[in-house]
Amino acid sequence: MNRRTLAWTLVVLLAVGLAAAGLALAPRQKAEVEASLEGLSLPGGPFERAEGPAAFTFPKDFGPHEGFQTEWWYYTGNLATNDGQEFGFQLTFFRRALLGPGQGAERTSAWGTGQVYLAHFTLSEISRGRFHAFERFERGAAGLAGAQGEPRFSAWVDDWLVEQTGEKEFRLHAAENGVQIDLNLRDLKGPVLQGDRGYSRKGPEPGNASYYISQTRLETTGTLSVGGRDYAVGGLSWMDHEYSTSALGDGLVGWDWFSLQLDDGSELMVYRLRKADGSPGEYSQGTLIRPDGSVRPLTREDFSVEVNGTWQSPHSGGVYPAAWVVSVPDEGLTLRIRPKMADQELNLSFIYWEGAVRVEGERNGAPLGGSGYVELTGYAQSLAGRF
Amino acid sequence: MIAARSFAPGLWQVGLRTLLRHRWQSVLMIFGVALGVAVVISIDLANASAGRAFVLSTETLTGKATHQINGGPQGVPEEVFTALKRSGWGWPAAPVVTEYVSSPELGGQPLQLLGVDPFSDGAFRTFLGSKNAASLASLTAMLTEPGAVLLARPLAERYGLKMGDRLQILVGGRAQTALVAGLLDPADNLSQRTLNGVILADISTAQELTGTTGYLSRIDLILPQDNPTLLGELESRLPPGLSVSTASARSSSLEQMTAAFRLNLSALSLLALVVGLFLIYNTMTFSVVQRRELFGTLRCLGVTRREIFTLVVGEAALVGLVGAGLGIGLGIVLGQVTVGMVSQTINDLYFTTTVRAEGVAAGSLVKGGLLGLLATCFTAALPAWEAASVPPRAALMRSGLEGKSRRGSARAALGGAGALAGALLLFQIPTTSLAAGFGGTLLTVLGAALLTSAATALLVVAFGAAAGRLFGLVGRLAPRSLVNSLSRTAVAVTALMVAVAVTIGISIMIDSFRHTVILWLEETLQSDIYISAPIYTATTPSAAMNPALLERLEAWPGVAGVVFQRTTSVQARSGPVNLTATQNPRVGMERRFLALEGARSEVWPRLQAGEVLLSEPLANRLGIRRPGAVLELNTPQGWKQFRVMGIYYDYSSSEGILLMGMGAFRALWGDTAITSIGLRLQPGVDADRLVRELQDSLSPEQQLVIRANATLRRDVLMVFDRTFAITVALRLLATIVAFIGVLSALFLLQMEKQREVGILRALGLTAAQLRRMVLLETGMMGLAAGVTAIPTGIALAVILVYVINQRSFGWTLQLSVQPQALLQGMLVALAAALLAGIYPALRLSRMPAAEAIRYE
Repeated sequence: MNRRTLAWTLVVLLAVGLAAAGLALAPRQKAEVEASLEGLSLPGGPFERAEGPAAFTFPKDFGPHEGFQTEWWYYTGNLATNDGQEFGFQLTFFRRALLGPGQGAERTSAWGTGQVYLAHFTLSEISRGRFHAFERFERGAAGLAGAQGEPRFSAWVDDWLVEQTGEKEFRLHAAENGVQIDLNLRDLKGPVLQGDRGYSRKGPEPGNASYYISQTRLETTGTLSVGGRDYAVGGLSWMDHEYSTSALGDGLVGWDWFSLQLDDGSELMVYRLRKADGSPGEYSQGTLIRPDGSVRPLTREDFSVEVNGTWQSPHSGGVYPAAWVVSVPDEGLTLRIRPKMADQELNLSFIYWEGAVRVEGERNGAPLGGSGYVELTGYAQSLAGRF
Repeated sequence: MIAARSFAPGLWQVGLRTLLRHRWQSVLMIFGVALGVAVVISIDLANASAGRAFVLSTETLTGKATHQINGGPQGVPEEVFTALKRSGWGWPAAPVVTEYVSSPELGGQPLQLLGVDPFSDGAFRTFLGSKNAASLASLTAMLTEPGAVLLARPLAERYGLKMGDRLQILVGGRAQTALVAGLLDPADNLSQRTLNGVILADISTAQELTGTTGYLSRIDLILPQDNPTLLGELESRLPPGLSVSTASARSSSLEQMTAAFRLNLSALSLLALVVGLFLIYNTMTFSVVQRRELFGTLRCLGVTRREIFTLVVGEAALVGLVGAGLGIGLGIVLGQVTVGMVSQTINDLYFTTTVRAEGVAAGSLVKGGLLGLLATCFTAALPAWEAASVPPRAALMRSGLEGKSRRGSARAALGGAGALAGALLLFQIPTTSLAAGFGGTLLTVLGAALLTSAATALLVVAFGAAAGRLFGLVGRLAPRSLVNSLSRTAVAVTALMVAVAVTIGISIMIDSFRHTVILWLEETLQSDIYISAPIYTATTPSAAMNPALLERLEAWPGVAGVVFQRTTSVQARSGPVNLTATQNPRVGMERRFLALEGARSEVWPRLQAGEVLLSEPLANRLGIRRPGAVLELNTPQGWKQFRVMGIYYDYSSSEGILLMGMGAFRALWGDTAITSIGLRLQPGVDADRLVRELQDSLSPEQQLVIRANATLRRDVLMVFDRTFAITVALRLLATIVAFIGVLSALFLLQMEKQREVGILRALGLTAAQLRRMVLLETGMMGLAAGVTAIPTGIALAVILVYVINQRSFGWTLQLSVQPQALLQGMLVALAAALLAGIYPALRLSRMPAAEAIRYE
């Protein structure tokens, strides 16, 4: 070994030592475990299906129908303070059954269940143009989430809840991240059975249908908090309770749904089931509720919906219709509908637009105003197979 | 390397040539460094690996949790979680049910069953994919199928399990059927290693499998740091008996406890290096002495002192570099063994890790290698200085150095006495600092080492007279020859002495420990048969048994009496504490007390009245020194105070145990579970036969560990011996290093004496006489090392038993000095020295006189 080799050996050894030292002294990151799951496929079912008109009793049928795969309770409303600041809210409880009736073994743990709940809560600050949306997932067990019809109706996910406080009175509460609603609802008209006595067909197959019950005029008072301020508010809310098993027929990608509360004391609900090419499906329908509570079902031929403008979401990129003219020629109704604010898209575990809208129009030439909520699904992602 | 610039180029050649020419000398030095470095590295690797396995087993599973809600013996009632969520608690919270289990289909190893709630767990752990990545469809089976578990795909594949397969899961001896409801694909290596030790399940399934329906093991929370108001608000929402702690509290307390254990191992491993350094020092000194003439000549030729110094240190650095490199390799190999041993010990003593840390910690290698290199250079500095101070003319005889060495030996003896006095003073300081303890130990070793040279001289003089009478001419020659070469022999003798003393010290410490444990077992294990549920953890107290078992056992033919205990974990202000509730009225008679208020006969009535006893390690941990102290525990009825009436010796748990009366415990905690049962038999009943009988009739319901008194005792001692396996191994390694040291020292010494030997041969000494003389010389060195090692070893044992052990583990041991340990040490020293003398003796005696004289 001559001197040069020795020197090189030393240099190499030193370099290796330094590299190892560098490795050794590198800051230790907090260990975090990550994996992805391939779950055992376990198709749930068979579930019950909506196959014809049924008799309802309340409040029992406000409650859950766990034999059906999907169920939801939708509360939406337009509220305002005395000085005219406008707000919109949505509080929705979704139930999803993983197992059909009689499927699955008896569990001893209170956490064992085949029911999963999801809830969405939004608040639209119309005057500030701010939209807040939150989501909760919970199992329908251990008291964490659930729904009941008797003795009084309630549905809840964690501390978000709707509960019946009197024969026609309900309380809503939801809060997250400084946004909160505490509302008292009074049902002015009683439950409205949509479609054929509550049997609402969504497709040609007998099972492609849902049971659909609404409370279309809920007088609302209460408080809401947002941005560090509390507001005393009043207004009108709307409730939709619907349950089904794979209601959405083949070839449909979503729906446009309108719930409009008109100033003359009547309400209009229409929906269009939408095909992939954008054309309306034949099972689109609606209901007109007159001020006295009497109901007129509307078929696809009875009404028209014309889109007059679009809005592209900067969040999802989805292009949504953003202005409509809804006409019911038989009733002499022409209603121009515009969102109270454009961005009311829920970017949660599924993406859809659900927002407060303003209604201006005429009935037989006489001006008629109102407000309502519109739901637009399947524009940012298809909902086929989800509901 | 800086020196290289100002360095005459030819001088490097001198160093290198020296190393190459004295090949054996170099090889031995390198081997000494390598072995020392290897031992240090292997222990460091084992410690690092144990540490990482712990982190993987706990931290990774804790996820992002900052705090936890912990409960009493049964855990946290599940309503607490529901109430928290339904009250609008806005911070992330997730329930966890966890237990150590095993599965025959998964190799029977301990695995952590982790029950989580997929709906709330995403904020904490990303086992099921990052947020919301797992679809409801893929979770369906996990949520709804009874016994559904998820396994890491590599784990399942290793044991040939597929999706949909069934497997048995053993929880506390009960077998449950589970279903593989999903396979997890770990995202990276770390995730894979962690998940390979985990059985993941929905919280409902985990409750059902572990039989803890209604309870959670804990609730994980993510809270903003340093927000006492929020913590206070949270605690006020919780029912009594529950408390909030930081997520790291438990793991850091465990880490603290193992820290002492690991520090002890590191200290022991450093000892091997120190012994190796003695060898370096010895050899370098020798090599300098050999070359005095050369250095003198070089100085005459104008080589500066500094250059000579650099030359010698440079040689050492080269040896150190090669030795350290070799040591790193050897350390990795040795580490394979030590990692297993250390992990086993930590599993036995502290906590169960379900994760095997893989790979080699680069840090350990760098640390060990650098340590070896630097230590070698520093050690060589003294001989290098010696070489540099050779006056240019002084190609004189060695006698100058020997004279100096004798004066040095006196100075060293003084220094040694000083070091011993320092150690004595250090131990007087009332502290529990382990560092101070090791400092004192080091001073003691150093002091004894410095005294060795003087002691050897004295011994040789004393022995000289006797040797003369016993061995005649050879007997008179050998001692004088030895005294004259003290400058080189003393270091070898010292190295041997240190190694032997450590062997003796550790032997006595282990003997004392074992002896103490045996005494304690005799006093504590009073039942004839013991029954408990099998557990997979060292520290988490055991699984529960069916309480109905008691009645059956009481009526069992041959059983005279039944006592039982409940061991569980409860919350003290300082964190979790292991509690044992006993129903044995004789408990006062079956413990040995460090301190006790009142008589032993009062123990039981006072336990029943709600006072408690602490085991020594727990008392140490809580800083309670004497009876009368008051301890607060979180019970389902809120924080309650408990008066400590005594402290007892206990060697079963290093975390310590709080002993309570069964009545008081049940009244407060309402927990009627049983974790161990003791049976007293009627006279004349064969315990082993009854054990078999019980096993046959009880095991179909629950697999139980049923052991006769003698079997349990044997098992305890087996675990004890297993925990000391690593210590014994280290002791052996230190001795091997010392042996190599002595071998090389003696070998070199004798070779150097060739000329002298030649003259002796020429004067008529026979080959046999020569052999005898060499062996006598080395034998005397061994004897000197052995004789000085005995008092040093005893002193070390005293320090280990009364200072290091006490401070590290909180155990008081009874010193028990077995003569065998001393004799063994003496024999090791003699054998090492004599063995080392054989080759030189043979070689010298075979060398023709003429050639021997012609040498050089």
